[in-house]
This record gives sequence, C-alpha cells and structure tokens, in this order.
Amino acid sequence: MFSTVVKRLLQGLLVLFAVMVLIFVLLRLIPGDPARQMSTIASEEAVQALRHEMGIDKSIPEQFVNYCGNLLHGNLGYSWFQKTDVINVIKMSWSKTATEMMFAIVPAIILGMVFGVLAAMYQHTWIDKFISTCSIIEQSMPNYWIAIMLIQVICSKLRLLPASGYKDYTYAILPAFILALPLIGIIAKNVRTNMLGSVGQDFVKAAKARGVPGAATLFGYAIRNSLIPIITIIGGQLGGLLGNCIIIEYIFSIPGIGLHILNAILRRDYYLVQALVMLVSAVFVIINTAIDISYLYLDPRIRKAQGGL
Amino acid sequence: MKKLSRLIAAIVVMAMVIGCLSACGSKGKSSDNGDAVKDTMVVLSSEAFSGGWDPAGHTVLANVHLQHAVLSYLCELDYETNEVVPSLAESWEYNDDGYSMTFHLKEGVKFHDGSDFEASDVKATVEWMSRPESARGADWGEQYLVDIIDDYTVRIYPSSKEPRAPLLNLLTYYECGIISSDDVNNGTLADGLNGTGPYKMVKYEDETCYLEAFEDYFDPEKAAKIPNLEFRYVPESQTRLAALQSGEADLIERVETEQLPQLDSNPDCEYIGAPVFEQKYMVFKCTQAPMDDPLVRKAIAYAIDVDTIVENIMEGYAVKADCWLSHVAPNYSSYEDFVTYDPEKAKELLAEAGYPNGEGLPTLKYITSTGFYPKTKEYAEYIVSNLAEVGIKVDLEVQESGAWSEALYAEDSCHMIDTGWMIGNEDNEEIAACFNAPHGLMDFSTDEAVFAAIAKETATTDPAERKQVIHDELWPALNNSMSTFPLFDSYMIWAYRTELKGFKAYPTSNIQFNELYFE
Repeated sequence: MFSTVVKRLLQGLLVLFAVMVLIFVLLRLIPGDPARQMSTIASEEAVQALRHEMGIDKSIPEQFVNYCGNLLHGNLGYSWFQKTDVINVIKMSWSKTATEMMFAIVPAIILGMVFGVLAAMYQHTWIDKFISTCSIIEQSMPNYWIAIMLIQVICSKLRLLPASGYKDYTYAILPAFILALPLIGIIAKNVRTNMLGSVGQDFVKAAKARGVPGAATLFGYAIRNSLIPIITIIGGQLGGLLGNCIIIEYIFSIPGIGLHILNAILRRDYYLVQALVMLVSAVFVIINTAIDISYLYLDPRIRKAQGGL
Repeated sequence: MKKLSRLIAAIVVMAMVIGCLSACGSKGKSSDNGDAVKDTMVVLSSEAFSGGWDPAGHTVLANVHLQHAVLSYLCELDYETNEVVPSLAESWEYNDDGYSMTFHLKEGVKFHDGSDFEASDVKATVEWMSRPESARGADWGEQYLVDIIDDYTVRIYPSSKEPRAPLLNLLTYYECGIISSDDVNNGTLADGLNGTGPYKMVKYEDETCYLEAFEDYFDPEKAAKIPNLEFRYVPESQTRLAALQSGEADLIERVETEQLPQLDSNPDCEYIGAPVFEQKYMVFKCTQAPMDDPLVRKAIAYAIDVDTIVENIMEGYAVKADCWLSHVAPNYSSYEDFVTYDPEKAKELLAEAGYPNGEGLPTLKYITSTGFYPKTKEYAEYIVSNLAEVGIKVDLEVQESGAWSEALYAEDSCHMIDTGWMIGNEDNEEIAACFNAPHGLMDFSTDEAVFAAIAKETATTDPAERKQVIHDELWPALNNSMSTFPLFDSYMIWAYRTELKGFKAYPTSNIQFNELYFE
C-alpha cells in the first residue's frame, strides 16, 4: 500500500509540473501586454523599459528557466499590479476561499447524503419525487443568475446578509450557499441511485436473511457500498467548486483566490496567475490523490488488488 | 415515519443554525449602518486598485480617485468658472522669459506623516512625475524642471525652455498631486500614499482602502466632514447597486442605465448622471491599408449614425461629439465642419477612393472591448450594420480588456478599434499624448499638419488666443486627417443614499470626498 501512495503522490507532482509549464507558456502566448496594462498611455519607449524591468522582454525559455530557479528558492514571484510578493497575496486570500469552500462543502455533503438516502428509502413516493425535482432544479440554474437574484432579495430587500466584500465569516454564508446548491443536487441524485443499486444486491439480501435489522442493513451495508462512487463524484465536484469560486467571488467581491485569479488574468499579472492556478491545481491533485488512497481503506477488494492487507 | 420526522427535524435545526448565522451577520451590519449619523462613508469602486501607490507608476483610474482624496495640488480647476484657483500655491506669475512660471507656496502645510510641505516637495513631485519613463510622462510631453528660489517659492519650466500653455493645467490634477520629497528620495512611494489632502490613507486590505479625515488639513473650510472613508472595489455592477440599496454602501459609481428604474423606485437612493471629460473614439490604424487612405477613414466616419447610438443605445446618457474634446472641457469649441451621418457622402468618398459601393475593399477588422466601457458591443454591432449599408464589410471582434488594451496600442492589430479617453485637464494629454509626434499613440498617424497645429497651440500661452488656435487650426487638421473619429462625449452616473449630502458630479469623474456629509 505504501508504494501505491508514493506512486499516487509522484503522479500528482508530474501533473503539477505539466500544469506549471502549460500555464507559463499559454499566458505568454495569449494577447495582452502586462507592461502596457500598467502604463496605458506611456510612450512605447517607457513601456519597453518596463518590459525589461519585468523581465518579459526575454524569450519564453529564458523566462521559464529564471522562474524555475526562483521557484527552487521558494520564490513564487512578484505581483506587478499589486506590487507585492505573490506569497503575500496568497496569505491574504486563501482563508476567505477556504471558508467559502468549507461552508459550501460540509452542508452540501450532509444535506446531499440525507436527501439521497431519503429519496432511496421512500422510492416512488412524493418525497422521492420532490427531492429529485429539487435536485434537477438546483443543478440546472446558472449560479451567476442565482447569485444576482439572491443578492437582490437577501441583501437588498431583506437586508439579512452583506452583499459585497469580506470582513468576517458572515460574508461567506450567501456565496457558500450558492456554491453548495448544485452540489447538494448532484450528491443527492447519486446517493439515491447507488443506494437503490446496493439494496438489490445479494450481500444486502443476505444480511436481511441473517436477520440484520433494516437500519443496520441500510447504514452498514448499502450506504457503505455506495460511498466509493459518491466520494469519486464529490472529488470531481470540488474542482468545479473551485472554478465556481471565481464567478461567485467576482459577484460578491470577495478578495479570495478566485477574484485574484480573475483580476490577475485580466491584467496579465503573470506570476500571480501562475501561482494561484498552481495552488488550485495542487488542491485538486491533493483531493484526488486523497480520494484514490481512501479507496484502499473503503474497499477491501482494491486494497487486496494493490497488495495491501 | 418516526425516522423521517427525525430527519426532517435535523434539517430544520440546520436551517435554523444557518438562519442564526445570517442574523448575526445582519446585526453586525445594522450596527455599522444604524440610524445615528454615521461616521464612515463606504464608496464602491468599479475598478480594482493597483497596489503600487506611486502616482507615477500607474494610470489606474481607481488609484487616481483615491489620490484625489489624499493628495493636494498646487492649484485647482474651478469647474463653475473654468478658472484655475489657488490651493497649495497662494499665487503665481508668468516670468519674462516666456516659458517659466514662479509659484509662491502656502506656509504651515503638513504632510500626513507630520513633515512640513516646502519647495523641495514641489521640485521632487514635478521632476518625478514628468520623467519620460513615468506612466504619466506622456501627459507632460517632456521633462519639467524646478528651481528652488527659497523654501516657499519655486520656478517651474519645461526642459526645452519653450513656452508651454498646458503648464498651469498640468498642476491641477493627477499629473501633479504633491508627494513628499522624502518619499521620492527614499524610494518609499510604493509603500502607501502620503500627501497633504483632506483624507489620510490608513491601510489597504482586501481590496479596500481605509482612510480617515486629516486633522491638520491646511484649509479648514475644505476639511473632510466625515471622519472615516472606506473605498472598496466591487466589480459587479448589480452587487454595487444591491449594496447601495441595502445601506451597506453610501455611494457607487458607473451605474448602468438599465439600473435606473430600480433606483427610481427606491426612496432611499438618488442618482446623478453628468457628462465627463471622456470621449469615445473610433481609432483608425493609419498605417494599415486601406486605412492609410484618409478618404476611406472619412467614408467610415460619415457612415456611422451616431445620433441613433446616443439616443437609442446610450439612452440619452451621452452627447454626440462635434470636435476632439468633450463639450464640458474648457477648451472645447464646436467645429462647424465636423462629420455628421451621411451615407450618400460616405458612398461618394468610397467611390473617390477607388472602392465604389465598397467593391474591392477588403473585410475590415474592427475590435471593441467588453466589461469596461458601457454598451461597447451593442453600438459596435450597430456600427457594423451602418457600414454594411454603404458596402463596407466588417469583421467585429469583441475582446476582453487585457487583449483589447494590447491591440489598442499596437500598429497592426486591426483596421479600427473602439476606445475612450478621459482627460484630467482640458488639453495636454488629450491632444499631445494621443495625436502628437512622432506618431499618434493609438492611430500611428504621422500627419505633419496635426503636429504643427499641436505645436502652435501648446506654445500659445494666452488662453483665449490658444482656444482660437485650437478651433481654427487644430480641428481642421484633425478633421482632414480623420485618424481618429470622436463618436460621443461620455456620461457617468453616480448613485448615493439620500442621507449623504453635498454630492456634485464633476467632469473629471472624481469625487470631492471632503464636500460630503451625512444628515
């Protein structure tokens, strides 16, 4: 099992390196000049001097070698627009995005599981139909639209929550709710499907035949067996959730990782984009690696296949 | 069903917990925005701040607005009378040499860091801001120098030692907000703004600038009335509006015309729409065939129905241009022969250029931006249909602001491109930076007649005479060249809470924060 974990970690590092190279090259190939962004009306000579100062007048391979050298010394680079080290921007912003994510993920998993189990337990009743309908609605509404509507109702009319900025955790509640909505629907739908699939299987029937009580059969056998595909789905959705953070942080003006990524792309703030996208990729890779490793614990068949106990 | 009841109860409890958290949030907010007279004004900016606070290191409008609260100027433009009035300089006079001016400075003025304002600060500011490599260098046109006569008297002049009419106006706005010589010499400009203005910058955190009224401000009559000011970046216009309506914000900028009905129905909010110094242009890339032919450029200008754009697309929140300066700019004068919509004339010019009904004319690449100026895509699409009517085929590209900005200053990015130009004072950057030698900054035109007219008007120091030169020589030169076609003068719409008093819309789009108060 140890070798499997190491293998997964090495694969993750390889993915991160590929992302790093891809972002570095793509950023420099798309139109948009960071020096011109900083000094829109300056003369061409002044802008050329700025390009030299920023080091972007060198060839892409030269820039990449310099970047890697700095990276090896723990230097993520400098944000030209924010005039501070990239690491400082990350230190200032990560906790806001993490709070939003946590406020979105934890209730989404709990509610999604609860609704999914309920829908499976009461299959073909009004409860099942109601949950399934809600699940479809939650997934099909664009979160940009929901955000604008909820800002108008919750913030502007009812004045229950703040509409913009970030001063404390209350500023993360509404954005997190909007992020969580489609996730609840997806989890509920998949829990229901997997639960129903498990209930009809032989090992559940055997448990029932052995006299195991209904609740124990449900929670000890059917749900446990459904966890692997559900965890895979949740892992995949977390990446999407990070992407949605960009839109939601833009709308709510939350100075988290998402808003900084968007602004940095628009301003062609190369090193800031590079670091933040790498950070998001790293989180994505870590989550997926953790999920792969969790299979070893959750499913004895996979553990055995990988040579574990 | 018992189990089901328990589950439903659990969900209800969770909802209550979330509700309680929400209530906590609203309590905190109401204490910030209670009925008592507030001591903090929250202003929402549509543009992000650049963390580089050096005024010579950026051209970001959000920072310019902030600088207006924190820095002071040697003199200011009175928008009621269009006259330059004293501020940090008590008086000034032109010297006999014809190119320099002497300024007598106010004594007893303090910077926010406690240091005294003296002649050395004026020297440091002017020479730092007018460097050719400064982001504001193009506004000045050349390096300016300062001789210190004594601690409170300075002589300012261009390094060319030629008469320069814009000098006084350059000292009234963002080209010359007075900064401390210590900050310039010690390289600490980027650490934060330190000026002599009515507000003092306290900190910048989470895209918000926190300011407080400066107790030792030199002019008690113009001192800040609201103790604290928060200047926050909120990119989404609907969020800015919701924040205003909920009382979370007191003042927002760049309100969109579609949002006005919401404000009309809200008794707690008011709005003001006013023309600003900004003009919207169609810039032609004059070195790219067929745009190297002035007849083609003029044909395009005649084919654009600006009246319909102003009335139907901009919904009246714009004014059709009739010269190369906004009608609220002091040196504005209507040009009688300015192009007006005439598709038949456009066809004639096209035929004269060798492209009857557009035959033989290649498809023109037209770039516009999205997400920065209002309704650019909408009116660009209308312009494309206007041009099609006279036989000009256009390939419209709508680009995000980063790519558009690069295309704007590139020689061969397209045939024509949409932009806007906001000026700080009435003349210099608009005319000199845009159209002057060695070539137009965006249109790459090298029309010697335009350069000669600019040289003459900038050398004419008598204001009335200069305005006449601009009208009689510069407008015809620019009209003949038609390297850039002004479409309309922009409006800006601000909205604010009714309890916020003293708001006036200024053509620079700046907010006079010190004039505002709560009632």
